Amino acid sequence: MKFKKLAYLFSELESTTKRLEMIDMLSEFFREIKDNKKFDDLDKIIYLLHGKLVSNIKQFPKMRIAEKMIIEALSLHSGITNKKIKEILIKKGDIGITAEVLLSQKKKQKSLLDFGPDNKQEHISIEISDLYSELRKIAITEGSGSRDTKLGILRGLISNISPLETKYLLRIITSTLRIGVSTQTIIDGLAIGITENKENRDIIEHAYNLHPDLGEIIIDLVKNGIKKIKNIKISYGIPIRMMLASRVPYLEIILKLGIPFIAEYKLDGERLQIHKQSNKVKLFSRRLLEISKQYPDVCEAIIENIKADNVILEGEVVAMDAFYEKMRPFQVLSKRRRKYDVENIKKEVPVCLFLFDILKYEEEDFINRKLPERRQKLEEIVIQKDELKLVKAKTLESTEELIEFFNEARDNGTEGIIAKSIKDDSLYQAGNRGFSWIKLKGLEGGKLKDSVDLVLIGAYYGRGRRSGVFGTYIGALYDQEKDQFIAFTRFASGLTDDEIDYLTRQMKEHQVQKKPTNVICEEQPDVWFTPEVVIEIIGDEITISEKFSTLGYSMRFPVFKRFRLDKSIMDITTVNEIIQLYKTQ
Amino acid sequence: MTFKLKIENSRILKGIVETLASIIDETEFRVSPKEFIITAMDPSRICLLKLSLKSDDFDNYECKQDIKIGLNLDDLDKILKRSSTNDSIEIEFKENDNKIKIIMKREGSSRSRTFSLALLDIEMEEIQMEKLLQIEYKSKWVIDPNFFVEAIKDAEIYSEILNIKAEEKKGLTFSSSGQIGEMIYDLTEEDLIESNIKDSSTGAYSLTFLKAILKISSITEKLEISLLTDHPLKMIFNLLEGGELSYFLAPRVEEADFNDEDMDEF
Repeated sequence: MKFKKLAYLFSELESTTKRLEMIDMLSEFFREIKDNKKFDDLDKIIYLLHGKLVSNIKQFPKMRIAEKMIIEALSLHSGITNKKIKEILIKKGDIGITAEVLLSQKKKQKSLLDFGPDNKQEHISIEISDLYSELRKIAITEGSGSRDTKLGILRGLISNISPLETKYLLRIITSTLRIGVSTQTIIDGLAIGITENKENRDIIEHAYNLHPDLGEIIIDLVKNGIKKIKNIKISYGIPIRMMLASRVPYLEIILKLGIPFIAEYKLDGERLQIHKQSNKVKLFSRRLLEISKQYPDVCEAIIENIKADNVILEGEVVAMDAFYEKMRPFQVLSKRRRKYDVENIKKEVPVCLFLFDILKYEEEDFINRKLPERRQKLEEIVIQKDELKLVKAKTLESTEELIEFFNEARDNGTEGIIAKSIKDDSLYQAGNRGFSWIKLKGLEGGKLKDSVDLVLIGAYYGRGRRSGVFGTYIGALYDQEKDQFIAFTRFASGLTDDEIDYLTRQMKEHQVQKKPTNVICEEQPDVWFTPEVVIEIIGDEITISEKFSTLGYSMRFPVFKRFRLDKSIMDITTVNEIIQLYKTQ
Repeated sequence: MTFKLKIENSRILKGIVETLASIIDETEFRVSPKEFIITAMDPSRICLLKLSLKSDDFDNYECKQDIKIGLNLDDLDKILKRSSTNDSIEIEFKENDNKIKIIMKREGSSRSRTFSLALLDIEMEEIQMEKLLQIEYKSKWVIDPNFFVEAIKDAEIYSEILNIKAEEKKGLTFSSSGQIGEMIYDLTEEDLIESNIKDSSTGAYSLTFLKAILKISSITEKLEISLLTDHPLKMIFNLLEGGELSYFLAPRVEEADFNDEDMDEF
């Protein structure tokens, strides 16, 4: 397919915020692909709709194109000076829109095509597959002189495509292509357009949860039919989307779960999904990225102490003291992320993996079994030792027992507990946040005393002692349906001077001139950020807010707790969660 | 299918490749029994260049049939930069080899250095030059390239554009202007090596490209320029015995300044 067609779809989708309209546009688009049987680029189209070049579980090689190089290419092509382009960029705040504006003007620099060569087909567009190979070329070019080669490829691309295409191309290159369509909406569009049956959306979503590469799922679907997708199995080496926990006030936990239920310690570490295939182990993070290299010791422990050839497990890895007695906080663990010298850090930051679930055992998927069955299997196959344990769990029958266990968990240096249903429906729901897992991090009355994860979208410069650095930040929630970030609260306290300095330096790299289009905020902070950095804050309670009127809620006494480098912006607290919390508090 | 080219003085070849590499990255070399040709357009299609060197321009030229090979000019430039002025350079290609060999030797020394460079698989669109070659230019002159380089450097102080004006009986004017002021560089017909200027023609051209093109000024003594109002600027450098490096550079169009109000429609 020509990139031009996709660019038109992007601009249509960007023109609306209504989910139903988007579904119509998408299903129409997919239907045409189906009717023409041109499925070659379908997977790429799906990734691009997500603003990415490949799926979440893969990584496209880094292109390393700086904004400066893009400006230079635009300048050479249009004849408008670098300086002028920079000015427009500041005004527009988006490189894509800047390019579109520049290139739609009557050109100041003529092309030789205007004078001679008969092949005067400007904007002949480019095949999506060719676009990919050009971008790959940019990525693999390195060494001295590579800058010119990269610039040359970029200029070649720009001269072959229309201003509208250039707008999206540049956003792709700078990783700022966010069309505002959620995965859910794309799945709806695919169900209607490709399978001609809206009901199939759940089948596609289920398959996507077990194999989080929607492009591959759809290619499989068009080749082998919906039945194949329906019976999809978990594959070793491909992470499945993790099941998430909801939160409700502690008094209501029993109402949701019934009795008896079990509760497990909620550890202050990093969640891992472990894929063991004979003597090979892969570890995946919450973001589904492979992070085996950070934890070679965990991999070893798995190989030596799990009585199964092939198995997929889940657990939390936690930093320990030298005697493997006390758990240490997440901040200690995160040292592993920064260090390259893993052998040394193994001694400096010893870790223990606490397992709590099993998703696949040899050839059998376990996610559709009840939790007690899964737990039993897990106990059978794990040989416990210092570096490998089962998460502490207890069967409970009353709120009193729950409080007692919660306090015990907190005394042992954990974040709290996760209460889990053990009823017939206690299956592992990949990618879902149901009410069969409930996390509890605080007990104080009806108050929240619980943390939320926000993405930073803007800041105000501080005064007095905090002048020159950002003093107050604005954090936003994620609106899954609209694929937008909605301002939720301002916060300033809880940061040490070092953290303030560090955060200011960090955030300056994410600073943009204009509010990003996928951010909704009623305030006008001194600076805006592209939504990228996730932090955790604790607050007292959710309050009704007039200031943040889009959402209508805010937080009382928000205090910074820590950075959440392990979370992507899609994993932050959602608007729905906050509404739910407000209702129950 | 083989060829072997040798040039005693590396300076010329180095100079040519340096200037080409600053305009295009990858290109096709066409070697025939008579001549050696490169035709290429920059990626933004603003500048077209054609290099042709005759077999006589080389100290040794062996080629029996037409051969096309693709090369990365930046890499070739890097290799040639390793040569000294007195080195002789030999370029060799053997059939079915996916590389060329570049051999550098010093006169009166038996030492030799051999570099190889992988060939690229490039598909070049055929460049139609006929219409460009048919343009009837009003003015044509031959100038010492150093004058032109001087004008380009002067102009850079003020803007990214060089204006050129040729007027019958008066001569040539290079100029540029910007926020801080302007510069004017006048030449009478006597300052030119040859001149054939009729009526009056003007044009504006990108300094970025002119600078890249004029990198070759150190190895040539004459530059022939043709001008026609708001048409591509034609430039021809004579090289060696019968060789030629020619350019067409698309003009800038000076309209009302970039309109901010138009922008706000977006």
